[in-house]
Formats: sequence, C-alpha cells, structure tokens
Amino acid sequence: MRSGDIEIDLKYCNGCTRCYVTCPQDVFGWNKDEGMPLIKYPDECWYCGVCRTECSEEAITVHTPFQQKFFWRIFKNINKKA
Amino acid sequence: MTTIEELANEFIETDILIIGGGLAGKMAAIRAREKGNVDVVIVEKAHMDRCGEVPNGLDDYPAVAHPKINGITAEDYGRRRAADLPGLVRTDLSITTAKFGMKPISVLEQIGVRIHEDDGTYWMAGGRLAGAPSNRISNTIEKAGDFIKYRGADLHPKLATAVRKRGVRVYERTMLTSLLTKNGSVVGATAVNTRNGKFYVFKSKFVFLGTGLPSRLEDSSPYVKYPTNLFYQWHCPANSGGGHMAAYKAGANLVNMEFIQVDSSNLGKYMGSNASKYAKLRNMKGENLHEKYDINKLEGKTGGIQGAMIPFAPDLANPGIERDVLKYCWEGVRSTLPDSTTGFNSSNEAPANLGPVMEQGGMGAVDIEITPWVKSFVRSMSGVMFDEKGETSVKGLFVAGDMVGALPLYGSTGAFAWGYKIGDYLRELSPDTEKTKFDSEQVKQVEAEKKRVFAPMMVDPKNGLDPLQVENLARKMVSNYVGIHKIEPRMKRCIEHLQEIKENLIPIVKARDYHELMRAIELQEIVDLAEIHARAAIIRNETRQGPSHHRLDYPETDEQNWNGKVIVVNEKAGKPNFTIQKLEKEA
Repeated sequence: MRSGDIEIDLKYCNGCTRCYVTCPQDVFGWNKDEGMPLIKYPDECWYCGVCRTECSEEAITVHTPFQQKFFWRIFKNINKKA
Repeated sequence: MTTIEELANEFIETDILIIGGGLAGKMAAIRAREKGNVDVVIVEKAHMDRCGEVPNGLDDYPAVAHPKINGITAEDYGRRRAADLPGLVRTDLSITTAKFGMKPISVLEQIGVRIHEDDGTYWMAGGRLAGAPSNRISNTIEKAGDFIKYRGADLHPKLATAVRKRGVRVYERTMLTSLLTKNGSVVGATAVNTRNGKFYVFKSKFVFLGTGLPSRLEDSSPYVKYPTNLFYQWHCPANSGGGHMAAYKAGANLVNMEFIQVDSSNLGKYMGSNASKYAKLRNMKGENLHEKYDINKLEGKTGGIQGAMIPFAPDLANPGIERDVLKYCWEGVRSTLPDSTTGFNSSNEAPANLGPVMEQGGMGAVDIEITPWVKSFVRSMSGVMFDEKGETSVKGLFVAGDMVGALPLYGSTGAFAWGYKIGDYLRELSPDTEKTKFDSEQVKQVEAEKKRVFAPMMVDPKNGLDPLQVENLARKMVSNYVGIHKIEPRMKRCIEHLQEIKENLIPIVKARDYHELMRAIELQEIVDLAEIHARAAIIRNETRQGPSHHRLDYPETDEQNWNGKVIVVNEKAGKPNFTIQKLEKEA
C-alpha cells in the first residue's frame, strides 16, 4: 500500500499501532476492521522517519522525494540506468 | 449562567500545566515531580514517545562548558556565545544557561540515557568554539570542543517513560488553543484533542510553555509540490506558533521577531543546510569553491552568526560573499565521517536522508549549489521574552526551549537547562502558592475560545476553503513580499494581503474532521505571526546579522541608532504594540 511517499507492506505489518500512535504529523489513520494502519494524510509527512524507526517488522518505507535526490551524481546515475 | 463544566468535555485542575512534551517540557515535568508533592499535567500535540524538534533523538549534547572538560568556564562560555549576537541577546541569561547546562546530564543518566562513555569520560567533539577539532579527549583539554557525543536515539521514549513513571498526567494529540488569564496572571489554558475533538479546560497555578520554534513562516520548500511543501522542512512542522500566539494574547512580550534563519541549500532541499557545511560548494557561476580557495588559510571569528549560519545573498557584485560562505561553512564542520546526514554527524536526526547520501559515497562526495533558503525565525533568539527565573512578563507563565527569545542558541542543552531550572523552581514554589479560582471572566474567555476553535467545523464543507490552501497562499505571500531581501513598500503590501486573508478567507476555512480543525487553527497562528514578522521588519530600518535581517532600502548596519536595541511586541487592545528597547545596560 503506497500513498504519497509512504509505503506500508501490509504482508509484514503486525498491527502494533506504533506508526499510528507516534507519527508527529498525524499522517496515519487506523482501519479498525482490518487492524491495520491507513495512510490518511500522506502529503503532511515531514519525512522524519519515526514510523520507520518504530516499526519492528520493517513494513514501512519512507521514499525520499525526487527533489531530495537532486544531487548531480545521482542525476547522472539515473541517466545511466535509463 | 454557563459553567466551565458545561463548556468543557473535561475540566482538569493541577498545580503545574506543561504545554509541549518536548525536551524542555519533559525535563521540567521530571524535576517538578521529583518529590511527588505537586501535581503535573503535560499537554502534547503529538505523542510523548516521538515529538518535538527531534523525534528521532539526538546524538550530541551541545554547548557545554567545564574547566576540566574543555578548559572554559560557564561564565566565559556564556559571554562568548552572547557576544556572537551583540545587543540581541541577554548575556546574563546566556551565562545562566551555560551554568545549568550540564546539570541535566545526571537526570538523563538516571533514566538510562548514557552520556558518558564506557570508560567514564565524555566523547567531546568540535562545536561552536573556534579551532575545536572533532576528536576524543582524554587529557588534552585544549583540543576538546563543546559538544558531548552520545547515543541518544531513544532519548524521547526514555524521557516519556520516566515522565509517566513519576505520575505525570499526559494529554496527547492535544493542542493548546489559548491561555486563560486573571488580573494579568495566567491561571490555565484551553486545549482541543486533534483526533476526537474533545475540548479541555485546564486550571493551574503555573503554566510552562515549551512549544518550540514556529517553523511554518515562509515557503520552506518551494521546489516541492503542494501541499508537501508546507511540511517538508528542517524544523518540526508541528510547531506552528501556537505557544507564541497564546503567550502573546495573554500579554507576554515577543522579541526579535524580524530576524529569520537563512541557510544555503541545494535547490531548496531541506537536508542541504547542514549538508552544505561540508559538501563541495559551488557558486552560481559553477565554480568549485573548494578548489578556488585554500580554505585552510581563511581566518575567521568564533561561532559564526547563529541566526544565519551562512550569510549568503545572491549578489554576484559582492565578491566577499563566497569567502563568507566558506568561512561559516567550514567553521561549522563538525565531522568528516561519510555516514552523516547533518553537520553534527548525526544519523538519527534525519535518518530518512541517510540512504540517498550513502548512495553517492557519503557527504564529502556531494556537490551543493548554494541557494538561499529561509528556515524560520531564529531559534531561541526570536521568541517569548523571559527573565532569570524563566518567567515571562505574565505572572505564572514560564517558557523554555526553542521558543524563548533573546538567548543565543544552546539547542537541546538550553531546553534541558531551563526545563531543569524551572521545574525545580516551581516544585519549591507550588506548595506555598494559593490555588486560583475561576470567576465569570474566565468562563467568558472559555466560551469565546470554544466558539473560535470550533468555527471551522461550522463552515459549509462544499463551499469552504481547505486550510492548507490558504496556508500555502499566506506563506508564499510572506516569501515573496517579505522574504530575505526586504523593502518597505512590499512588506506593507504583504501586511495588507495578510489582513485580507484574515478578514475574508479565514472565516470560510473549513474543517471536515478534527485533524483538519488542527490545521485550520494553526493557519490563524501562522498568519498572525507572519504579520508580526512583517511589521517588526519594517520598523528595523537597517541591515543586521547578514541576511537574517537584510533591508534593500537600508543596506548598512546602523550602529548609531540600533546598537544594542531590540524590537519588542505585545498585544494592546487587540493590536500589536511595538516598542524599541535596550536589552542590556552598557557595561
């Protein structure tokens, strides 16, 4: 499940609620029926990485925005790959 | 007549009300509950385990002074730090901060945050003192810096556990909306839960504010798409200035609100500020400044300008600029290790950024284009004025941490030191202080506040405006019309625009749920603070501290009229009232 730059691999999620509980920006919601997190406000992410740090199952990935990767070297690498 | 109980979902009475559960708030709570004789409540906008400016913890204990560790007394250190911002900060408060700087270490070690190394020494690193290299001390005092390195990734969870263990009542996901006053003293606060909309009224003998630096002033990330640009920034975006505005409306003084932090960045990339301190710097002509100058030969004075670490302006006619950039960049270097995302070699302050940096072979291999970038107001220099007890001009209202004004940047050390000092002070003072009583005046305040807070819920969701859209508009307005290079007519235009936003747009901002309600309330704080910023910037008709306050119409520093003077603002009859004061008497 990906929304914005946050990706949750629900296969690994154990429903511990830590991401929902601790996110400083209140990005997550909670799906009570499934016992799983929702990404409710993906655009309000601060990219602080708390959700990833708190997740014991490595289920969460915070993708760095494209702009963050705007180093020239990476730019060249992207070019090479293409 | 309505009563508080009818207006509030919950009415809470306590001795000490702490707003903001960051480093200052947690430390104050721990100290205040030391003997268990006073009741303490914490109100936190996020969650106690991960909140504030450094939710991921820290790995340095900055700005310490000790004759046996780095060969400098607290007195000397306080003076030297205050001398970096002459006239804009109080030397006596700087000295007090330095004196209390190391006391909280014992508290941290008691709760399991180990600051000492295994062999009982401190791992010192270079910091804000000139010529301090980043290395381990044993006996060589001369070589030590003023930063203690430690593993503090779990700083917040451990502090939160300690706070709960000491029986502090905690209200999470709850944001402050206003302070309640009675005859010029603070007697409580109102707050709202941002998940279930519960409206709380607190009554307390003392209120401690530790709500951090208002960080949503300008368009922080213009290169990022809306609405991520509003939150993708260096400082904690949850801090929108609620504490500042509540204190201001309660009668407290704000100081230095015209100054901004200007940093360099790579196309607005927020990591760039610190990264640029030891990435390869290029100027706008594409020249590698690294190669162009022999950086080792650049002499420079201590510390740099705290408010504007890198005094850079895109003025190619002025060749001195590159030199200044280098001077401050390279004095700011704290580590040359490749696995760092910031100038402090901290992997935990911004862990999400580590990946892309490592992909490119570490920090030293990265090229940076210098683009000026406004982060926010100046940490701990622009903020709420306080005295040697930590008290503001409003009786019973205490402030600490990044939100204070007229103090040089002490970072987490300042937050801990003042949290510690104020917590101790209030613990002793509280038993002898009489409980306050609410009368009809406070009921009226609560009634009016409840109406204001929930107004966005009443706006028709079909026709109402999204709070983030209006925030984007207001912040772009501030960037374009006030910005780094300020000129009076444009700032006046900005104030007009902001007032139009206040009168015409804010009343039709909608909130479909309580999360959006939080954003709608924050919007009001942001616009109010932006107006104060613009008005203060007009009054200071000079340029001071590099780009931190740069007036195109007054490009010179006016020592004759402005030396040692600050602009103080408080509320008078609903309008900002500005006065020009001298902070310190001439020595």
